[in-house]
Amino acid sequence: MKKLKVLLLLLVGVMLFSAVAPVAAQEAVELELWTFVNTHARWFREQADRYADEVNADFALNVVEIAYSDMHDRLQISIQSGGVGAPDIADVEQGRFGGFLRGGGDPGFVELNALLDQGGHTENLVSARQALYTSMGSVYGIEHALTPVVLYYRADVWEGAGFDPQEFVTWDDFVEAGRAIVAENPDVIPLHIHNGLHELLLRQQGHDYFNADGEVTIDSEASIALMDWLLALKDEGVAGDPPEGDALWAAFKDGTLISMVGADWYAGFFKDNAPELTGKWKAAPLPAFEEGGRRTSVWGGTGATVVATSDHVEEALSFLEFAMLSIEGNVRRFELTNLFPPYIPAMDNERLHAADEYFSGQDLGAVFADVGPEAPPQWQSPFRSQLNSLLTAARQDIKDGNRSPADAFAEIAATIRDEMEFES
Amino acid sequence: MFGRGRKIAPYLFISPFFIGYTIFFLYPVIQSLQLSLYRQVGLTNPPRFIGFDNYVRLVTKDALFIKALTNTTYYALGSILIIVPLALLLALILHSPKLRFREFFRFLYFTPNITAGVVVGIIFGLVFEEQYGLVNNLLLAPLGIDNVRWLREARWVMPAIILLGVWKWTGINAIYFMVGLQNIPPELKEAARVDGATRPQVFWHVTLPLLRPILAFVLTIAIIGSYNLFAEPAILVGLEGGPNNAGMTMTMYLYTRGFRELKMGYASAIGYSLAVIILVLSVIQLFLIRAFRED
Repeated sequence: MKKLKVLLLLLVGVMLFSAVAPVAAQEAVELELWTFVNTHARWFREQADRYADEVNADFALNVVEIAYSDMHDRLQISIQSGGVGAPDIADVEQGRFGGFLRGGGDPGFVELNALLDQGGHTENLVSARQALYTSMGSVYGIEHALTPVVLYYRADVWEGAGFDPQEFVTWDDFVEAGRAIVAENPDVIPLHIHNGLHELLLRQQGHDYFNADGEVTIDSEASIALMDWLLALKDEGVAGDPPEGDALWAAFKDGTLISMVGADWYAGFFKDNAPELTGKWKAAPLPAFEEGGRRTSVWGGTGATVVATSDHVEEALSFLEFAMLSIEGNVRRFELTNLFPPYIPAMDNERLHAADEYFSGQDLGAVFADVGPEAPPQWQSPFRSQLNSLLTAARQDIKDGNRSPADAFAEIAATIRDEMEFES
Repeated sequence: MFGRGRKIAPYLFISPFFIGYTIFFLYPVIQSLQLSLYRQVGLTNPPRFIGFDNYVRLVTKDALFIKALTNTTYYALGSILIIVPLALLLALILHSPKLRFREFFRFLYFTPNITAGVVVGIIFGLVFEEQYGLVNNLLLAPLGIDNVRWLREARWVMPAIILLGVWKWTGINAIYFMVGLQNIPPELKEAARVDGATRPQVFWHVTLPLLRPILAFVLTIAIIGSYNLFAEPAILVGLEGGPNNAGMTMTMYLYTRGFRELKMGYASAIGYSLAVIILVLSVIQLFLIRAFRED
């Protein structure tokens, strides 16, 4: 009997303990931040130290790096379950942001309009970028990067073959030079048809997968014609379909890939993933589709958000304002990650124009600043992440010539339209 | 007092399991059955009752669901037809008393099974890589076979996943069979040999029939496992299943609908359909195995 009572007591004790264990008093404010980009994580950690030094000595930021899909999925699930395990601050990639708006509901983030308006920040941010994180007038994110797209190229290879990509005016110039290089060395791929290329070139032309009214336009004539053009380039060997992921970097390192049409954030990717190519790369404005045409596009982008269930919303907003809406924070981000500031007061800062050792001593900031004002708008849609999923599945068949772009795009558009109707 | 304590105590001791089971299993199972009759889209929207619309849409309008079902069935058939005979063969070899370092080999064949699916997915991504991968460079190139685009050509995606499955699951199944072999009394085989049965005859008429319960167990587990396949292909080819959704399994499809597109009602309907499919297949399979016993 006594034994039994002791055991029962033990059992109750264990249950009680497991219920109250997580409760612990905390003096200092510790916020948790989720990001999927290691360059962002590096910068956030540094900004948190600076914030602790200058604003609140008791502030600590736990920066958690989680892989792209995982992080967004987990964030959605934790918001959906009322904030269980959710961070205080989260980076949300623009392609996934639309998914949070699915069903027309509240995305679970703190509305930032008051912060942006009161601080006078709204005019200081590039509105076309902020539009990506805005729904029905409510702003939920602050963009990290202007994401101007430029042509990164292996200076040694192109210049060695007698071409200067800085002089290219149109894509025809690029293609002509590419043909000459391939004729000399058939193993080389002058234009890499990566997963974002069609989309970003479409925006360079002033179109997109969704238009300003939220209608799906991936099956537009311009979109189909552009994909047909890329496939024709692939057929003649000027463009190629190299591997993705780790193998992509192997292809950069072994010299198969000699260019990359990428946004500002790709500069940081190069430095992180292919440090041995230091001094071999340069960047130039994109060739235009016709003379006098737009010399850039936008690709990607990530907004920092404050999760509505956070216990420290004020502190989180204050930190974001300090880091993301200041000249120092924006300039420092460029220095660490090459993300060109979407924050206008920081754009002409001289520290953006330091010689970049990786890019052959080039003033990379000048290239971004040069094309930045021409950056085209991009429209958000709750259906974008689903469209991306459909496109991901169809992409290889399109590249391999198993399905015509017209056919594949029409099917994707039809699926999205059907979904829109089903949910309306 | 004594009597009452005696009556309650046992139940209290076993209660943690039932509390856990109710909260983490029974409640979600019932809740998702209810949810499958609702349309619920987005993070914070209230659900709306739509009856069997989700199920109707799933079967009549959703080509991707059918695709995921076909893919998963392809995987189940492919992997089971390879794994089960291979595992049996391996078990016979490992069971042989003549084999040296028996314990070492048993350990070796078991290790893939305790490797996390995500790790396996990442490593096999490198193994199947088209230009730099091991399979193409070390296995196929010496045979003079051109690079196979394992993960980038729709028709090769599922074979790649099946090979992964064979690598991962053959070992554990071999161990199940080995246990079965050890439980067969040696006298039976000896008696058959004395009666003049050849080795193959002993295998077909003594060993195999006596392994039937193990075979039923292995097949049931394999069917359930196949239809629940998620981590390895999700990492290997991405949640969309790679080119033309060729590697998209039912659970990946459920996951993308539920957690990517936030359609919880629809995802619940997929989950219930999956449960019904597994149940039906398991019953058919058990019935077939038992039917053998009749003759």
